Amino acid sequence: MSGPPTAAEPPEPLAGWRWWTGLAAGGAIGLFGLVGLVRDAAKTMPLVWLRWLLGLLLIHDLVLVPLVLLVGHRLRDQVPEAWRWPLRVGMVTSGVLVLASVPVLYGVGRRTQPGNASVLPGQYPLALAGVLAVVWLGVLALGTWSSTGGRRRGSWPRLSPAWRRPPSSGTRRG
Amino acid sequence: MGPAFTSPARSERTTAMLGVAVGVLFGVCLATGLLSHLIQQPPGWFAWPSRPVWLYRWSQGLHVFCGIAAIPVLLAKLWSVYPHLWRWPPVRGVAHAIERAAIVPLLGGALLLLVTGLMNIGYWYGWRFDFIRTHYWTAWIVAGALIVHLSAKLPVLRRALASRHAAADMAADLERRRFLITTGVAAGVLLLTTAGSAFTPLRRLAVLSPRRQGVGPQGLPVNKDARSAGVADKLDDPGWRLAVAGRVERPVRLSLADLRARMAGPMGHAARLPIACVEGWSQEAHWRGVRVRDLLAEVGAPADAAVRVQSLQRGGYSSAVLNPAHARDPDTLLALELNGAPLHPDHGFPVRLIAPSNPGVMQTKWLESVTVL
Repeated sequence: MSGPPTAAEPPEPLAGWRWWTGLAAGGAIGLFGLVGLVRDAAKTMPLVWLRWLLGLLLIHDLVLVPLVLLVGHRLRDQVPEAWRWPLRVGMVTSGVLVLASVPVLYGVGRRTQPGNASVLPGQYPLALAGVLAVVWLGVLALGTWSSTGGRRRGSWPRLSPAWRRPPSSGTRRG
Repeated sequence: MGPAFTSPARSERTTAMLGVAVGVLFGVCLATGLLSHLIQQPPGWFAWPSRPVWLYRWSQGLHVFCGIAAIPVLLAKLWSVYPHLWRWPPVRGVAHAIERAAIVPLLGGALLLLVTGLMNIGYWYGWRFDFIRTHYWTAWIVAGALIVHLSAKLPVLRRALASRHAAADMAADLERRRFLITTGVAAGVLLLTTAGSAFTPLRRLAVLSPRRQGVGPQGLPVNKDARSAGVADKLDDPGWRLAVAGRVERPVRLSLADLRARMAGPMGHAARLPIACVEGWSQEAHWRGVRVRDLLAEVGAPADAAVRVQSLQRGGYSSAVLNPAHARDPDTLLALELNGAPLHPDHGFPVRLIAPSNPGVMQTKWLESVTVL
């Protein structure tokens, strides 16, 4: 296992014309947006906006990622190697699908648009369950393949041609 | 916190590849979002063409579905750099402090754009601010912060993308590939189950989309129905007339029978045109009605005139301006029929505008006047 990825990296050079030009251009564009947001305060409500922005950042950094890390560690420690990646694909895909489906599952749109049957027309809990079932069938197939024949023929995805060449070919670097 | 971050999938190359993907997706969202803004609030120098007819449909579809695809890609990118959040010391000088500070509006803004965008297309207005204005200004803030971030990370990006086989070992290389494939699978499944609300070949798979092609009155989704728009009671008025006036030589007031008579004559025209909503869904339909350019010729309007159409609806989106290119397009119609039947009230009975490559919010329904500007 490798350590934190930054350990062996050279520090990023925050100097030179590219950095200062980017800072000036990006700063100007960002400031244009910020001034616009503040000048449009009656509609944009900058303080409410800021609460949303920081709230989402904190939820991501302090709740979502730690949860993902925790599940990832459990997966690594308690699941056989052949099943780790299939399970990871299944859990990540399921997590993303559930998160992205919250607005349609919550279904508040049916109340904000009463009488418009074309808004949120689906049976979303059932549809999500169906999609997840297909995803997990795929996980099952991938895991079975990986833990039986797949492993004997070499793990998928296949490594790049340079990796598969024998070391004596002299093309392998790193 | 260091020992917690042991995944061999994390590497400069992983981050660089995801960073490029996020940059491309957000770049498309920014460009198409700005385009949609310009079309709806055009400055003097901007003229949106009416051809090809699918241009706005594709542009806005890309906006929404690149945004949806960006959800797993952004989350994966943030996961790959998460250890940096806890790096100590947190800053190494003024320039580094600026670079790190720019990450707050960059990430907070990006999350805000994606989360509120997703909620908005699901008709969940769980905020007190105006979505469009906030989305617009936040996009500029994110764009600025992204440029600052890119100018700081460009050397790292180049180094990481150039080092094709620089992974420490085979296991790390395999893990990186698997992680990227996992991200791609998540984005792919999300798109497969939503994008069919715009991309017709996938319509049967769009089971998680807030809209479905073919679902709605006359087989077409409706953005605002007649009752919500407050016009339901006005549609049976026998005294209703469509006023065609403004900078014209012979202003007229046309009854529904007058319009139908014109539709049956040489002014009548049918066209297959898409309704393309700013919320990303779109669907082609068969429209029949009176050509706007023929009606403008009848009343003696100047050849280069723009046209304002006004709805019986009051408040937002109750009127729209057609630029000269759209007003003169042979397929721009005052539509009376949809898919072979008179317009359903929710689709704009008695008469609505339908023009090629026009945002759905500008395809004004329940018309009461056409004013030549």
